[in-house]
Amino acid sequence: MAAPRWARVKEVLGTALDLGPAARAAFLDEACAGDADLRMEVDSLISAEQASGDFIVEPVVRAPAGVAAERPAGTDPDNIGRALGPYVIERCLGHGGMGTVYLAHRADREFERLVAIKMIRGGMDSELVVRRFRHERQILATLDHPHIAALFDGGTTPDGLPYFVMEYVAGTPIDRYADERRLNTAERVRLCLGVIDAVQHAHDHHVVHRDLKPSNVLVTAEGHPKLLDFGIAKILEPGTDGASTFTAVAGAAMTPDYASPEQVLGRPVTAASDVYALGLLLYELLTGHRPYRLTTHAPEELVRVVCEQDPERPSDVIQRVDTVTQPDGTTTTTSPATVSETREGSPALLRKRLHGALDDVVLKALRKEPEQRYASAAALGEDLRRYLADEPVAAGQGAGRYRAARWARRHRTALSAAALAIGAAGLTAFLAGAFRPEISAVAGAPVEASAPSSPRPSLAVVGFRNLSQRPADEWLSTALAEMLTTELAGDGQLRVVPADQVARAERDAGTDAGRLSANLATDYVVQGTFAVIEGTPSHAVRAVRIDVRVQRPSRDPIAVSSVADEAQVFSTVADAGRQLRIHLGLRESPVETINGARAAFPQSLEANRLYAEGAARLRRLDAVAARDLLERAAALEPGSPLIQTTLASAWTALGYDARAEAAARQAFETSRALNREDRLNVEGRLHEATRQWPKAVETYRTLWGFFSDNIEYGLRLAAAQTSGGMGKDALATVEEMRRLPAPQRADPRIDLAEAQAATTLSDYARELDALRRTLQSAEKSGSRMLMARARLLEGRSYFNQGQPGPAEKAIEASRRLFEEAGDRAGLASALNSLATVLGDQESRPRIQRLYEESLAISSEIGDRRSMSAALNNLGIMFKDERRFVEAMQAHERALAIRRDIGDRNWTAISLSNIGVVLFEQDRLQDAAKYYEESLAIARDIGDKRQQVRALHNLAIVSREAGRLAEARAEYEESLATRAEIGDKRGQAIGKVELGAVLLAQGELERARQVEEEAVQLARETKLTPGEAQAEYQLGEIAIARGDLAAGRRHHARGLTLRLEMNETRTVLESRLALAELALEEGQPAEAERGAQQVDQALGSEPSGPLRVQVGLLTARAHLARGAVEAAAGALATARRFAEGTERVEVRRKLAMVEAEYDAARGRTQEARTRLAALRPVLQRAGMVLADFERRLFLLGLDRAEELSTVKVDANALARDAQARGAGLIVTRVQARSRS
Amino acid sequence: MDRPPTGAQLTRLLESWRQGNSGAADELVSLVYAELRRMAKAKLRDERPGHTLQATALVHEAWMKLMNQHGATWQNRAQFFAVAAQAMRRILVDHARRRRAAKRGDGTSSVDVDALAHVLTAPLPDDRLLALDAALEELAALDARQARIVELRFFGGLSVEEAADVLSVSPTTIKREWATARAWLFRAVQTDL
Repeated sequence: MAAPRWARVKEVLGTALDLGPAARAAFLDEACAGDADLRMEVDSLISAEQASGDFIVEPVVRAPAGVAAERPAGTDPDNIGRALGPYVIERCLGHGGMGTVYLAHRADREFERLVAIKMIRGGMDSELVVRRFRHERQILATLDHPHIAALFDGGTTPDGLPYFVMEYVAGTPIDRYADERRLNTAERVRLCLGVIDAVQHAHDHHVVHRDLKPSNVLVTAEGHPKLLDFGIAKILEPGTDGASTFTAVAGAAMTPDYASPEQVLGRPVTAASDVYALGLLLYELLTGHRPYRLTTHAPEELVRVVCEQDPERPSDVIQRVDTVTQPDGTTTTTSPATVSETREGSPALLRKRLHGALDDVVLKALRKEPEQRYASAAALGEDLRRYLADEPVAAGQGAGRYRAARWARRHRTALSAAALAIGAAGLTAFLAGAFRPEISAVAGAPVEASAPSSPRPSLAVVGFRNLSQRPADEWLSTALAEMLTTELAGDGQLRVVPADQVARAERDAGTDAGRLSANLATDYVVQGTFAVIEGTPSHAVRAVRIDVRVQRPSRDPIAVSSVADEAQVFSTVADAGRQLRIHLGLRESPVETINGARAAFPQSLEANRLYAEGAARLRRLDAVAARDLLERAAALEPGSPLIQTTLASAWTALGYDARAEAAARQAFETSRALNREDRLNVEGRLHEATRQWPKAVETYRTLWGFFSDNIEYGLRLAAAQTSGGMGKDALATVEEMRRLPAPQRADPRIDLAEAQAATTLSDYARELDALRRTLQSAEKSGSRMLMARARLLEGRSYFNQGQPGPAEKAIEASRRLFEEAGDRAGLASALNSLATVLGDQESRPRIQRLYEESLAISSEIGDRRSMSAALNNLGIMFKDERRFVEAMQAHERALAIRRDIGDRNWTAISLSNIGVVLFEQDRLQDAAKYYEESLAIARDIGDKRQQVRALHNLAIVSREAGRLAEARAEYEESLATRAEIGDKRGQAIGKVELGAVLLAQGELERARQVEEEAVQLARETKLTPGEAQAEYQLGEIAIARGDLAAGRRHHARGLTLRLEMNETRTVLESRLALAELALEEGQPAEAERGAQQVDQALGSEPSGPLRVQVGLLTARAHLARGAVEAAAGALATARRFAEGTERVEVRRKLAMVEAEYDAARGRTQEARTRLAALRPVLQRAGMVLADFERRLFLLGLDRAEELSTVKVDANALARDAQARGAGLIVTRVQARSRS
Repeated sequence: MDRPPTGAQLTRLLESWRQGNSGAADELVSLVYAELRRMAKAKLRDERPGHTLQATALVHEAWMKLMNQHGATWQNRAQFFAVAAQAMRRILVDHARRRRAAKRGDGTSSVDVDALAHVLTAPLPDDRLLALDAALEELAALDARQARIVELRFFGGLSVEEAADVLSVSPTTIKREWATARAWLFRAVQTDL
């Protein structure tokens, strides 16, 4: 509802509420006649009122009665009529900062003189004040000037309050006077001349005002200015007892808004301080703005703003629009329109009047250093007179030099003042979350990207060409481009493409301006040239000239140039940036924002050079050189966040995580002076460097929320989410990025991000689709690097889906592309992946060579992380070949590197892999130790994927060690986590193993269910090995249930799948299972043949569970045919291979066959003993099915010895087995009972 | 800022606020808040566990202590209460938000403030308070003075006369504005809940 509307509603409602029901109706009929909406609104509110009950009637707190209202001195109405010395108080004129002012006249009417009596508020040391007054009085009495209000007398009231008697001036404060009469610039200047004369007069008499401000300068109706309170400030000032400047009592003898830098810093106040105040007065009169906006008046802010910040030029500040809220809730707006209305009438005209000479004059008076201002008030007045006479002003000379000098010095002091500002309300509030957008509490809920209401114009700075062609100056190309980028981006009005991105585009699309423009697709493209001008005899210092050109669609290009001495080269950028802003029609940026942006850069020339060269190298992917240069730069300037951030990137590229983290942290520590966006950026990178993904996500979410038109933030957010295992969230972010306006939404990196997120969710279809799209758009924009990366991911995806052919093709393609692009790191990565993909097909030596080549390249470029990746894969390869010693060596080297670079994630993986090597060697307990350590690290860094892997491995150990219940719990836990992170493949793998445990525990039905689920998931995620393993387990389950035919079917299927995949070991497992099945089916010859086949295939392998199994099966086959001697040999072999094994299953099987052998040899007692020893082991382990087998065997022994307890045992066993669905046992029991 | 402010600082802030610097009000409120935390911590230490503190009483006490003990002076009661009312409102709303956020399990900042939020009893249920605050903001966009009146009366506890004094209008005006604002707010809050 609009305000006038509401006013009307209010009016009607207010009256209506006062009336009784009958009168009300009548009133409303009349008041709302013809305005049905009004009537409805009022009616609605009346009903609300009637229903409101005691809504907010009771306040939350009672205002305590008789609050210690220490009434300020002098507001007591009793003062009226009071006599003070010879004067009688007539009325109150007003309240000031120091106290209250009354109008008084002489009681004796001796002189018809009206005076103003200023009664100073309580809380001061009145005695001291009065004493000082007496001291100063002599001097003040000599101040006789038409523009100075005379100070007559002073004293103390009977209640001890000091007061001053002054000349009464009937006038208006100068600012109101000028506005009311709409004085133009020249008239305002002339008005000030009077004030300046007065001030000079006082200075000549050694009196400094110290508190000049508009309210102290009244103008009479005739247009004469009169200065009040001359010298009072000094009288009221507290003594020099070391008290700070801010303990000026009673509301400040010095008003903070008008304080000069030396006053703020507690330095001596001189005539120059009055000149400064005059400058402020002029500024405000001429522009309607104050040069500084103080919000809190906290000491830190005062120092920073008054002592460091440069004021905006008057001709620029008038463009500002400010809104101020008054205590009563109303707001006032200052805009170019409002200020020019009371001055020149139009903003353009006002600007014209102020621009140039007046700018310089006012700014000179406002210089921070007293000695840099006008030497006297009179000098200021003279320059103003020159202005009025259209003569050149003295302030014009040296203005440029002053600016440049301050620019160079500014940073040092800005940062130290910023250090003071730590804890300033603004920053703390921000960091404490006052501005943070609400982060959705539900994981996975997409955050609504708030599209900016009108998209910001976009701009890219594509580099500065070196006209002088001296290589030593080449660094300026990067430095100037970056500075200009920062300058233009500083206040957020433009979306400026970051330098990295421009570099990337230049790499991909070349330096052809047209193609570059198309690639970057911004509204404006900025190009520049620079030339270094050698020193001349008259001007010894070298100078730098920059020329900047901005291409605009269908308009003339903008050309801007700037020159400065080499030492102040960056001031050229500042200047060019400012000019560009004006040309682009942008608002002038608040000085703080620009300062914040500039503060990011190193200060010294040398540090800048090193930084620029280092950044350039890094962008050309030469991380080693970059690192060296940046370290030198950092040594020169440890406090530059930009150097540290870039250095962190270099370390990351080299894989040195710990160093990257340190640098990123350092950047963060020193980033407080930066503006909000930069600071968040630094923070984001810190979290990336430390792999604190949840924090990184939060930081980038904030940036993305603020700057939802900047795709870089969206990409980083998605990357952090993917890395942190929040794949679903990453996909949601991808969707948000797709909602950006063209051309940003066509950025191939979005598709790439989608692909990477999809991988973690095992959504291969989506991944491939996204990668195809990436390739298409990357090809269009000619981004070779992006294409290479996409191809590599494509290859890996195909590989994961069991399609090695296409995988190889894709990775080969990526290898070529990386080579072409000169990306050695990418090349090493591609070689690594190629070797992995070819793993099963190619000869081992070739694979090994590929890994070693990858390793060599990584070593050469100093990329230790890639080295560790190659070593890791070599280790796995060796493990598969059962070359355990070499496997351990490789893994241990990888582990050492990973610990060294502080990559905990990969350290956990390496530990896990070493565990696997140990496991394969049957060293279960040792393996468990490594798995435990891996798990601990994974938990610590919150890496869920690694956690489940470690848990899974531990579960395998538990199972093998015969701790079935523990194993089951561990599998279930890891399955739950896998479901949580959406890892379908992992779930398949987990379920397969879980099913095996359930089988052993005798829960056949549940085991079958789980394995069926595993098959489903494995098919879905194209995990053929998993599917095969599940079939194997299903085979075992079917056999246990007694359905041998089904068992054969499942095992056959498993075998087929494994043969298809060209796997070697698992094929043998399947064959062995089928051979054992043959034995169950009563075909010992076939069983033996099968075992022999496997035995031969195993060749000269030293040991392992398979060998044991083969031996046992052979022994059993022999025993089934009665060939006891032959059985002895096989058993001996098995025993030898099983020696020292920790695997319970293996030991138990061995024990069973040993017992069988004993029984066959007639040594039933030994057999029984063995079985008896087995019982507690099996029961403790919870191996139910195995225990059935034991009991079955015992039953057989009993029957053979014809013991009478047979029947009872048999029934019990049959019952138990039946309950579990262990059909095979039941059948066997029945068979033995019958015979 | 954890050092207690000096009287001069407070006076300066009050003066600055009077001159229209809204940032000064913010700073004053945060000073009150800091004082409140100090006091609450002290009280919590002394009392037995599970004891609750009345939020409003604490805010008031904190404000009083700030003003009296540090010897600040101010222009008039109007200023005093205007700021106190604002402080009360902001602090109560802030606590309600934290409690609500804690229920949802959002990350929060400093621990002791959270502990405070749970230990302080609020005069209104959190939902209602937050709904009222939001509605008040809306009202402020429509009619700044009415919103101010509500703030002074409901959060500051000022009587009609006192509010009239603060805003330099007649008591009749206050009564009228108060009635209309109440109706409007009630309606706004009803549709929210």
